Amino acid sequence: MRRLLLILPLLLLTAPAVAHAGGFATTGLSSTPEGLRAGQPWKVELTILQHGRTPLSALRPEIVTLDADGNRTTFRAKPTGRAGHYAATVRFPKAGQWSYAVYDGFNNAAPTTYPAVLIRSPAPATTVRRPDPVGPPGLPIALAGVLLLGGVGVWLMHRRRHPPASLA
Amino acid sequence: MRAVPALLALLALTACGSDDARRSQPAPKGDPGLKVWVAQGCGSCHTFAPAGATATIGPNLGLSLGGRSRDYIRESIVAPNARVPGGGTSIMPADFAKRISKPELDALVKFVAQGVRAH
Repeated sequence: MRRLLLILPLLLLTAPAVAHAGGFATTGLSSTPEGLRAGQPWKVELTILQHGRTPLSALRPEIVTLDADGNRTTFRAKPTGRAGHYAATVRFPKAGQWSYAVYDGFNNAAPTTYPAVLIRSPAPATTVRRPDPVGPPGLPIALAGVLLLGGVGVWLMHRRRHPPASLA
Repeated sequence: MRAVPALLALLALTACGSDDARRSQPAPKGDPGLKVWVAQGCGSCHTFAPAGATATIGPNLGLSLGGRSRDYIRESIVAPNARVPGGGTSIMPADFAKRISKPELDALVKFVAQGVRAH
């Protein structure tokens, strides 16, 4: 009985270590959100391996983003069909510094964390310069001028051939 | 009155621990070593400030690799059982030499070495 009383605390002390040793997985990401602009999708694939070796299926991993004000958004990753592989599409809705972490769905008490990223402002709307269908901006004025001169010339010639009848 | 400093300290501690993700600083832009780190899931086990990693399965690399050479760091990655402090066997996978290419390994070693030096 005394032995049991001695062993029990030892078992209680070692139990958490044993449980921990069996309960970890590594999460690899196919890319980072570095260089993204606000609103752009970050399509990322997660590779989750138990003990860094065995692909883990049937998990519900999540990517959690956190803006500078501490607002959290959760993005669920879905199985891709390959064992241990999950895909997620994450969007950072505004520019600024963001943090993110992955909860692998296997041991959510210990998320994998990453360096913060700076998300850039959305790309400015691009103005497409279309070629002017009429031509250069001065062309209509030049054409009007030519037409006016031509008209005056025709009128003068007509007047020379047919001088107006004298009223006197 | 005595309770006030203790309460403040407790509040400071809980504030620090409230969200791991909020603590990290922006990473150096486009570091190929960080990309390898992220792809291989190193941050799931190790604490390493330059990578924003706070895991505690494996050792804190800023501490365990402090003052070590690049060769030592490389060996720790590709042959984690070569020199386990205190003996025994490492739980770290021993096949990274097969998983990642030599340029990737070089980039990872450089990233870790620089981060350890800055620690």
